[in-house]
Amino acid sequence: MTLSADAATRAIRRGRAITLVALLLLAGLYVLALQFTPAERFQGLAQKIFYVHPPAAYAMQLAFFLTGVASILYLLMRDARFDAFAEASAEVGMVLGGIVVLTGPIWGKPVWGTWWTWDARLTFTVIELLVFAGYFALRGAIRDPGERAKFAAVAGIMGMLLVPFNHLTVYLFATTHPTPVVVQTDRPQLPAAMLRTFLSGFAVFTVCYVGFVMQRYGIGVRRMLEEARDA
Amino acid sequence: MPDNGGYMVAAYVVVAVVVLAYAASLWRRGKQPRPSGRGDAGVPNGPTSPRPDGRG
Amino acid sequence: MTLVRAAIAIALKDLRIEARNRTALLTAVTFAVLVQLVFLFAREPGAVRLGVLAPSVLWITLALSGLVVLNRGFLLEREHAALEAILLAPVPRSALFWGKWLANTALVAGVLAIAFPVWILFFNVVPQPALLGVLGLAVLAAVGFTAAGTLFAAMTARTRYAELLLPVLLLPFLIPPLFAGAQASVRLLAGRPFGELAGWLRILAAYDVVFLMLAALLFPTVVDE
Repeated sequence: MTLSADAATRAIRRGRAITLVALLLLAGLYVLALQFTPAERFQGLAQKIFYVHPPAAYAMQLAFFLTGVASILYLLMRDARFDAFAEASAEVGMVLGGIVVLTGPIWGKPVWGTWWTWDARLTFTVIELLVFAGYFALRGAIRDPGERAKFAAVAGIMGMLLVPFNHLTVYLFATTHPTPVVVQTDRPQLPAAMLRTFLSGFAVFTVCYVGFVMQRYGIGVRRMLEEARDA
Repeated sequence: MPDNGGYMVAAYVVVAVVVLAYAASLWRRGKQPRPSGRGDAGVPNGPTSPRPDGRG
Repeated sequence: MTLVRAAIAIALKDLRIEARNRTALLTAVTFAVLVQLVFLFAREPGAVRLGVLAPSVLWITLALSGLVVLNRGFLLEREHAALEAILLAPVPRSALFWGKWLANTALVAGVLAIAFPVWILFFNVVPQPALLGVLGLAVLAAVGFTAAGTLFAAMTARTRYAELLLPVLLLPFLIPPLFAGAQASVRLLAGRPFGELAGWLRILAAYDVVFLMLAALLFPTVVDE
């Protein structure tokens, strides 16, 4: 066992500090978006959802991807810390995915005229959330820590490999989603002020992810230690 | 310009609520497991599982 | 060669068990017919023509009866603690995967062999050569999802919630082959040129290859003590 209670406490304490910074940054992002970024002419103020929705989606993908990576590392090295990290990252990914599917319809209603469209990215997010809901269902159904870690890692890797197929599927299925207009090299489409706020959103959600995942990792390690003690 | 500021407010509130709620949940779960253990000392009462690395 | 021979031996063992008491296959076939019947009644007969619904029903029947079959494979082993016995045999772990997968795919194909003609009958599908292509698509889709399913079933069978957990884990993995298969079969039945199918076939094939390899790679981890 390579888990240590001290390391868990350290991770939680650092995670808390980073989360605090992230919350302040989120407040700053709101000020930046509301006060210092011009409103878009055709979509109106609802367009400003743009500064939180795609960044949350990106952070969710990052979270699930890192769950997959940690799962592979767990199977290779059989170090319980990777299992703790995979679990932590998956949980934070679920929360971020929750933000994505909640803000998506709120943006969709004024822009597309309907709360829900089976648009590619929203559909993809829902499938991802369901995959990882299954991941947690599997974790919850197994009592033996070693077996749980092993099976969860297998599910995490499978989930990661499903991503490209689901991407392909949902894109072929239908898309009314705005295609990215941010990174077009031939001509910058997004005014500088909007781009600045948009990129700040990505930074804020990255910091959020880091703070959350560190805390959750520490909590997970503590739980595993308790489990080992009770066994 | 369409008048749809309400949607923006709703979305921003939703994001803030979810983030704060999760942060609060992590805060609660991250408290020292034993109330008698002194806060952030990092030493829960009694030895935990054997620590091979012996650091800390 | 021992791998192939061991895999076939394991698959034959499973199929022999099923053939001996017939309950599983009979139940799965009954289930597959019932699913179709349920669909017939879950529509407004005046508004939704059978032909419109037919391809969807076929694919959902395949997905659901696949789940039923997969759930069974490892519960069978658990009942008699037979898995441990197989693991003691001096064969590579991956042989167990290939054997199980082979048996599961054969059982799904067996269910399909009966459900497919029933589907043609129930949904007034015009008998045409393209139907053989649809059947081929169904088998191609089944190959991939029984691979993922065999891996997941090996895990869920060890838990207390096997029957509930397998569908929850596996259904997201059914979405790509289901979608590609349904799209391709609709085009096939509409007599579209082969060029329109090629893309869907490629997705199905890629899915099969990726998940067969991945499941075979991960399976030994799952059954190892």
